[in-house]
Amino acid sequence: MLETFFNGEVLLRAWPLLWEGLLLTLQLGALSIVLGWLGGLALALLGLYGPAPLRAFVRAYVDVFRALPVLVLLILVYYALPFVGLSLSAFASATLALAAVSSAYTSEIVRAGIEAVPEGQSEAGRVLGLSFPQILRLIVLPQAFRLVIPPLTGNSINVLKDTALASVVAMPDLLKQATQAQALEANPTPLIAAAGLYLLILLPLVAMVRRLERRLGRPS
Amino acid sequence: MSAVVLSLRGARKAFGDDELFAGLSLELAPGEHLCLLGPSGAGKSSLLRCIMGLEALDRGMLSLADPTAGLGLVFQDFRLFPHLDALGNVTLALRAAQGLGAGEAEERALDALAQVGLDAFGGKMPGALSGGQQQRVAIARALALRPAVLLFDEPTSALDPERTAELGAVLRGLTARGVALLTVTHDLAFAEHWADAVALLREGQLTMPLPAVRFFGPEAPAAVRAFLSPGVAPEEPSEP
Repeated sequence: MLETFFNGEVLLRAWPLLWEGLLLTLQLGALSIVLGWLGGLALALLGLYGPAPLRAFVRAYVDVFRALPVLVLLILVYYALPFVGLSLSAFASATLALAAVSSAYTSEIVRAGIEAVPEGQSEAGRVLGLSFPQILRLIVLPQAFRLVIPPLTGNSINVLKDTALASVVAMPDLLKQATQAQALEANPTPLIAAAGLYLLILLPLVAMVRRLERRLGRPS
Repeated sequence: MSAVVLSLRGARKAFGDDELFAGLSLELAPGEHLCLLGPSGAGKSSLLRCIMGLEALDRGMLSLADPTAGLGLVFQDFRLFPHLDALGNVTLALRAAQGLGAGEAEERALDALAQVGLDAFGGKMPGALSGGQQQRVAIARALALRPAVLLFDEPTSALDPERTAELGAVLRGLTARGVALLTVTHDLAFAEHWADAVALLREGQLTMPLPAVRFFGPEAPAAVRAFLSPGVAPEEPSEP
């Protein structure tokens, strides 16, 4: 049993591969999360304050990318885009797919956060002579961000988890490296180790979301 | 008293078919405190919002003696920025709207907070302040911009009698420095005690402002006496 699932020698041999995979997973995750935040913020602002055609575009975008499975989008980007002359690397394809979907979710989260800030706050800013961009930047967004930190962190966890899908397009992320090591060694220990590494990264984040939600739920 | 800091001529405002007021005019002199009374829904708060520019007048002209010294409004619910401390609330517009540097903005903010007796409270978050203190931070926030006229919407609705007296003293300090005040209130005692002039907004018309003693005296116009007539309890504030 131990020999099969927790084989130390196998783990030692597989470790360099797993480590490389982990670093790539973290890079992909971090880049997709940050791009998702930026894209989501831009979409939320356009969807709330942009001209009518842009608002309609944002609505359509958000609906489509929340409905489309990430894996389907990833395979489309990686295998279908080359037919229109756009060949992206596995890393770039995965980043694009993850960020595109994350933007849609982030946009909805940020929009809800902005709408939760009372209208009276903006009026107070107007009365003091602030411009609309100043009201947004100095009054509305700081209050909205406080509200959206827990759901935004939750969404980021999902993005980090979904990076494992990149192994499907042969990106040597943590999962891909683990399956390769497993095939090479004919032993599942690397897969167990990979699962352990995912938990090691994600469990603290999940616990953090729980803490943030509890703190926010408490009247201040 | 020929100096006028604010004058409103022929103002009309309607929401749909519901006309709040029409042909309304008023003037404020420097350091004058004018109180507007009137039944709920008479359009008192809307009048303030129109003067402040939060809503557009359908007709009428608003002019300020010195357009660079503007207007300030203290909301009934104060509307402090909950993510900034008291000092941050006051410096925000000084820095963002008036472009002052950090040092100068802080100096002016502390000066404004001192005028309302709260210079020691700059580091407090709004949630840690009492209602009366929050209101005074809101006053300081408006005052720091050095307005010629300050508008107050129901300033006593959240205050007990003691806090109301403190507010009255703060307002008197402002008028002594030449700031004109236009207050909308349901609080007859406040108007009688602290205003220089009182007028009644009723059925879309504003009565001629009268000194408080005359407004509340036996020789007041019939409309005023009808409004103040005994047996009619003062209305509840519209919000707690």
